[in-house]
Formats: sequence, structure tokens, C-alpha cells
Amino acid sequence: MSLKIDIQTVDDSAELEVNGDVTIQTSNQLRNDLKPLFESTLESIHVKLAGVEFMDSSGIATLVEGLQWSKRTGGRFVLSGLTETVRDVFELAKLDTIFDIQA
Amino acid sequence: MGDSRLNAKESLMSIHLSGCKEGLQALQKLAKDTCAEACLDKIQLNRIALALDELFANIHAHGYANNGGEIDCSARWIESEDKQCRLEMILRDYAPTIKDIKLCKGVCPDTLKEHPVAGGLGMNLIHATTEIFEHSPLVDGNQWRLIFNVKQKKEDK
Repeated sequence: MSLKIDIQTVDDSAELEVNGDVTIQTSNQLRNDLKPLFESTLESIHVKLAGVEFMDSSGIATLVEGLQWSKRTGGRFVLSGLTETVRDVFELAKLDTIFDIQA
Repeated sequence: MGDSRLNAKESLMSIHLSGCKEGLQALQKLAKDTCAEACLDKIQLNRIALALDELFANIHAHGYANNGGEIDCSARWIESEDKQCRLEMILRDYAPTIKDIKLCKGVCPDTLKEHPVAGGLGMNLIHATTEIFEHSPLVDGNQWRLIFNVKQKKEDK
């Protein structure tokens, strides 16, 4: 399954809307879209995951790179719209309290 | 092998896999077919698919160094004394034998906040989604046994 990612950048913020499964087969696409954002001077990056029903550890690892960016630059890395199954994966990995997750 | 309280109830199916993308899809289809009539909820189905995804990815990446290789997989329902319904899945690879599975431990989630690292989460997820996760070194590979304790949701009348 392919991943569809729409990116909108306004001022110092970027929003990514992700649709599809984020797996070892597709997470590189998300990583490639996030990488230039991590190298920019953005103050916040918001990843919307309402369109993601399945995410494995490679997807989570890609998002952990957002934590690394946040820690390095002081920028805000936000996740939102987690589906029931993706939220469960974050809880299983005990990452639900580490990421900035909005409804 | 394994916990003597668990008795085989029914052998469902077994498949032989090779390659990455196609193999993973076949493996997930096996899980989906096995669970099709079990009336599992979305979360449980996702956890089974996730554990298989992670184990398959680890075998492919670390066992076969991303070059592809053979994996046998079987699934069956087993019944225990406590009448809980459990799904047993066994994967067998022909990759170099892992002598000590403890060396394959994943990242510690507790340290991620201060030291976020983008790797090592897969093993944690396998342990978190399974009731039992066992590795057996074989002469010519490895055997992986996963037991899922599943609760059937009530069927709509």
C-alpha cells in the first residue's frame, strides 16, 4: 500500500497529513518528506495521522526522529488524529507520554 | 515444546515464504484468514498483524541481511486449562542461528524521552503484543513461537 502525504507550510509551521499504512515498505517516504523539514528553521511540525490505520516500528522510528529534531532545535513536534489502532501501538511501546499527542 | 498447559486444538494451516514484500503480505493474510472466524476486535487483529510484521522484518533485515530467505509459518488455535482462547504462530527461518536471544533486546522506552533513538522498537512491540514469545536455536536456523491470548467479541445477533 502506498502512502499519501500532503504537506502545507505556513510561516514557521508545517502540517503533514498522512494517509495509508506506515510500514517498513512505506516509512522511507515519510522520512524523506520529513527530512527537509528537520533541516529547515521551522518552529513547529504537526503530523496528522487520522488516515493511518496501521503503523509498525519503522513508522514510529521515523516519528522518533521528530523527537530528536524537537530536542535539538526546541521546535514543537506534534502528532494528532491517532486512530484507535495506532494509539494502541504507541501505548504498547510506552511512547504515548513521550510524544506531544493531540486529539 | 513450551508450556505444557497448552494443548493443540486444531492445526489451521502452514505456509512457506520467501522474499520481503510478498512474504509479509502472505504472512499477514495467514493471520487474517486464521482470525477471520474468530470474531476478534480491531485492536487484537492489529496486534497480531503488528507482531508478525515486526518479527518478519527482523528476520528479513537481520537474519537474511535484506537478501531474502526462506521462512516457514504455521498457525493454530490452542486451548488451555483456563479455557482462554489462544492463537499460536510458529515461524521458522534458515538464517544464521542466534545463540543468545537476549542480545536482541530492544530499546528501553523509559530512556526515549531524554535520549530518543530511532530503532530497536520492534522487539519491544513483539513482547508487548504476545503472551509468550520464545526463540529456539536450531542447527540450521531459528524457530520463533508467538502465543496471543485473544478475547472474542460478542457477535451481533
